[in-house]
Amino acid sequence: LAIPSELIHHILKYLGNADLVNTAIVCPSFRFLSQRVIYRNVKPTEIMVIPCLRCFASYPHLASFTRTLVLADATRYYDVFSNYFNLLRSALLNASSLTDLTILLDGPYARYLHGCSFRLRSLTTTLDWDRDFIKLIAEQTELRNAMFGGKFVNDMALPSDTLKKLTRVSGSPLVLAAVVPSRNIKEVELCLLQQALFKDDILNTASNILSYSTGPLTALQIITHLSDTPSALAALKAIAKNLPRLNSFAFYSSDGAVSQVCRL
Amino acid sequence: MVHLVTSDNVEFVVEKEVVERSVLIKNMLEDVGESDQSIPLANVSSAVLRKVIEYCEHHRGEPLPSGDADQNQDETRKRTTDISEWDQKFITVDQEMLFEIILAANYLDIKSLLDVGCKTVANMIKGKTPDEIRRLFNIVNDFTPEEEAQIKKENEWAEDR
Repeated sequence: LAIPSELIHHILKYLGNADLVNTAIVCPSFRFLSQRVIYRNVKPTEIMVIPCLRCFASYPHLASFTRTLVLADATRYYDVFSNYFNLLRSALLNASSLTDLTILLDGPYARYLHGCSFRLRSLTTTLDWDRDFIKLIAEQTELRNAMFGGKFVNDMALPSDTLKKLTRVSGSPLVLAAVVPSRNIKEVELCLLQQALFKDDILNTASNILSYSTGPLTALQIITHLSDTPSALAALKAIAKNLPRLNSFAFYSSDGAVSQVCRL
Repeated sequence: MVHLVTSDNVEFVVEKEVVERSVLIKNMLEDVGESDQSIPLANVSSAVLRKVIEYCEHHRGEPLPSGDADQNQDETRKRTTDISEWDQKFITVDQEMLFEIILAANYLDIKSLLDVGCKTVANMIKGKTPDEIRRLFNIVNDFTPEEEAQIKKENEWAEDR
């Protein structure tokens, strides 16, 4: 009984990689379909980051299947030789259909992502926010959703014709000040993790900046470290004052003691 | 009531609500309207249609999946192969019947039955060696050892899960 390949594909989508590496060596059509599934959403474990990038660099037809790629910070597990960045670049150049990229790599390495043919819709990264990073953002014209967790290099202005399609962004107050005003940002995640930044004056400034979104901004989520409850409660008033059109507000304490969602 | 005729020329008379779990038949009825004329199902035998109707009767009235939901499911890799107790019992059939049900569900466009069938086959594949999978699908191995080694190399990073 012959099962058409679209149905084999449907069956294989229910399998994990542990089984797909076996189905891939059953026969040529199983190979093609299994590898399409294996390579569609790619999230190698830490020790497999480099073997994975090698495969991307060596097999462009497989790399072109990939839509989602999650790369842990290899520098934490390897003594990264300078060739690592060239390998990363060769791999990403082949990932022509990529739309979702998570790259946890701290440092000024955005230039290794320049000139890639993919147009990301979603980017999560800890790359430094420097001149090279802004060039990368200018290239990625389709971004809808971004988490910018990298170190902010001062005085890095973002040209106004970048990130035109961005609607959701997460970052520190400095990143948000660069991104949100005059863009159609509807959802913001404000990260106040470094110090006890959850204070009246900082929240007032931050929410004032967010009010310049042309979205308009309707959802705000704050991730913080709560130490001084009375001053934190006072700070919440600034949000209500500066962002009257907000209809969803979430607040997460990194301590885990406070975590609740309330409607304004 | 809707009249259906199978490939082996057996007529089934089924309630409209039941048979409309098949998007193919639902669309047909919407296009041509209800009539006493029977709908020929050239790709489905009576043994298989009996099973399909049993499934549709059990699940009558449940909401049909929308097109959007389909797409979202395809986007995220679905690893859950959980099947409800009734469905599990229903789909405990010999392998040829299982494949026939999958083909019929695909032809008749009954998404939930297709999913149950495909999940069941996926569960049969789980944990099997390539040779065992070949036997399951009656496939002859035509890869050389060199080709096999090459494929393993291409997927090397994915094995560590």
